[in-house]
Amino acid sequence: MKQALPLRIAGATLLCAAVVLSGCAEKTRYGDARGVETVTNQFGSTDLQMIAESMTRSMLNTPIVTNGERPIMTVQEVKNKTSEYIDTRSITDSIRVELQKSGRVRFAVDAAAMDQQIEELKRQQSDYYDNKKSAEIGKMVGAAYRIEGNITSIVKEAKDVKDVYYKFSLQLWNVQSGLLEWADEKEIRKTTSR
Amino acid sequence: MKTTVVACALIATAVAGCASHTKYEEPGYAYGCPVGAEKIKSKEQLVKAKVEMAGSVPHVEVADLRCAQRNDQLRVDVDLRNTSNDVRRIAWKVRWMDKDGMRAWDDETWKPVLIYGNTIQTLTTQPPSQEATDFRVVVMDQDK
Repeated sequence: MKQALPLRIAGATLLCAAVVLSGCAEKTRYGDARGVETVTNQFGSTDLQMIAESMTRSMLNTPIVTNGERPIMTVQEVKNKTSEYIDTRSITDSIRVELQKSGRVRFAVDAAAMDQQIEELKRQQSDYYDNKKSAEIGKMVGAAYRIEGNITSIVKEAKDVKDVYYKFSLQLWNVQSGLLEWADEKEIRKTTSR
Repeated sequence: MKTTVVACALIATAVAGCASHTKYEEPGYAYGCPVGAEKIKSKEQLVKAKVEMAGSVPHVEVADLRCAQRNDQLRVDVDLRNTSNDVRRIAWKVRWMDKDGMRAWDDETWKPVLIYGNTIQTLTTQPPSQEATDFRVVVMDQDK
């Protein structure tokens, strides 16, 4: 019976420690991927999604798209002229996905994916493939329109306030004529104060 | 003769002026907005059917809801009024459905909007695809 007391104390200590540690444990939960994210005032998921949605809906209203001929487009570079790192490819990817899902436009292979496209064409021309069922060289379709743009920012910082202004511009150019067929901008302002 | 012609012209003009401009709405539409099988008899009922508040959104109310066809595409404008003197921050998104009431598009992103005190902010949207023919605007408080 005398040995039971230290054992009980040790058990109680362990129980207390477990309770305290469980209180400090990290908790991970799934969130809304489309929710408003305001963790910092740097470029975030909400900005990316808002830009993609705004640009897509605007472009879907142009006569080139509404005439029902499903124009062929290609995505070129969106220049990042801000002071922070922004994956502009992610923005153009989202815009392309939304436009493609709308069913009103088609996309030709862009410069970034050209190497893979040529590699696949060459591979299908090899002796391993049935020539009658292989993709032919010289049948690729060029884009009639190209999408390009840029993102700029103005950052102002005072003692207790940081203000960030983003401007995303996107243009749709006619490849053959060189005419600007559509352009739009999306502005975002975020202010953080202590 | 001249008097008769002038009188006839005047009558014709008056009749044309009085002619009714009432437009009959397509079945499934109310105030230009797609409503499906719902019976909508007033703008208030339309707002109730088309705009959802996700939880409590104090001092923000729907002032008007307009739908129109532009380039064969639905365009929706929702006027939100801030009834307080302070700036209110909300977020909004649209749920798009097809003609059968099935979901026609992925969840839109919540778009944060600032409404100055005692002013109206218009939210404008249009369908992302041709299948998306019906909608619900969802508004959420961001000041919490």
